[in-house]
Amino acid sequence: MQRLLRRYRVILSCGFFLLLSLVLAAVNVRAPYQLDPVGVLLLEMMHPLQVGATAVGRRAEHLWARYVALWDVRAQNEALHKRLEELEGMAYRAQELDLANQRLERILALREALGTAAVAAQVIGRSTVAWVQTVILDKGERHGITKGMAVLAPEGVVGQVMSVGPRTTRVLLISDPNSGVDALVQRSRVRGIAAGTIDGECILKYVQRGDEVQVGDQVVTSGLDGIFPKGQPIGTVARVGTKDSRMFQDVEVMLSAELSKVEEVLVVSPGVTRAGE
Amino acid sequence: MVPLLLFSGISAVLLQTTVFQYLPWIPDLLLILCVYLGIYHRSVGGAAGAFFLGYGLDSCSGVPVGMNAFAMSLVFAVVAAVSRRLWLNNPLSVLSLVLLAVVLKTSAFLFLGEFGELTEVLQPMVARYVMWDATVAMVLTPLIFPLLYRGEPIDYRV
Repeated sequence: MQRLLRRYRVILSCGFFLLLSLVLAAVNVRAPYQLDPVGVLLLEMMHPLQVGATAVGRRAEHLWARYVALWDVRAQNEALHKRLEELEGMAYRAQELDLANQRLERILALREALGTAAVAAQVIGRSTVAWVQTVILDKGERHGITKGMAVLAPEGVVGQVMSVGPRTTRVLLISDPNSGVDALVQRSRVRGIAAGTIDGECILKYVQRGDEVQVGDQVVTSGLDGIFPKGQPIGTVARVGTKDSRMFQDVEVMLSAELSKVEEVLVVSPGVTRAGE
Repeated sequence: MVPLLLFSGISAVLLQTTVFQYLPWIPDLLLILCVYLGIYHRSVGGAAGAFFLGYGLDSCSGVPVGMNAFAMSLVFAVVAAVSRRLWLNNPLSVLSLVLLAVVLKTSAFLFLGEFGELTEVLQPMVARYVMWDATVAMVLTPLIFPLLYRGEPIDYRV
């Protein structure tokens, strides 16, 4: 008997513990802790350890929440930054479209005001050297542009077509030293030639000493050159100077059109006059 | 070896009832320990160890006393019976036994749940966690087994 017990002691002990645990479980699942011979003792023994381990766990969780979880915040931050950049890009594009729309509306209004066929074009290139003031347009002969046509922006005169390709046009800006536009001072009707300078600015040439010109006077095209429509704004008189030895006054004109920023222009046939004039 | 197993058991109960509560799922270290006992300690001490591991977990975790004790005793008994007949010294066999242990433990819980009409509570829980339990246990087994095995006396090692 003893030998049998010894031989099957593992099986018997397994059976015993299975039976014991089954009884315990069967009783306790119906009425928890009804039969728990050493549970209280075990719990008491484990209590200080559990308190300590829980504290460690909480600290680890705090550490995780405060520091390690910040990695997520960083990733989230990067994602939000990316999203913000996308939205800023969209807003920028929308703003650009809005501005382009406004510019095109003004071009259209100018075209209607001129009362004639004119070609709207976009500036696609600019001169890379300071002493040559030219721009390139995206329209050319195929679109009806010919050499000598006037180039206008809603703000005022831009320049004159100097050469034309099939699909591009080179425009000599009014600020170029080689350009010249027959102009007059709107208030006093004093005539002169609006021409560019080497500095890329504009002056009103051949204004005689006695002619009445004041700072702030509007300078417009006279229409007498047969190129620019009459009454197109060129600029505002910025400075008037007189030297005793000279026959003419020095009249500096601040151009109405910001030539460095102009993006859309209207190319107009010579001899066109403003509607209603 | 007994002190190491005792220490491991107490640590496992502590970790499972405290620190691991903050994790998304609780690795069942006691189950792995139980499988280890079933493979390497097929003795009365091993059976008692498995029972008390489960009992300790029941007492400290609020599960009706006896449920884990029964599940662990069952796992020990089956693993001991299997390992007695099969050579289980390769990792794949051990992992298969751990998987079997997860299934056994789950089945034991469901079986005992019938007594207390807990099946409705247990079934969704089991369905939700059994695969995670099995996966985590199988991942942890290759890490825990060598640690415990190194603590065995040299003449005991295979």
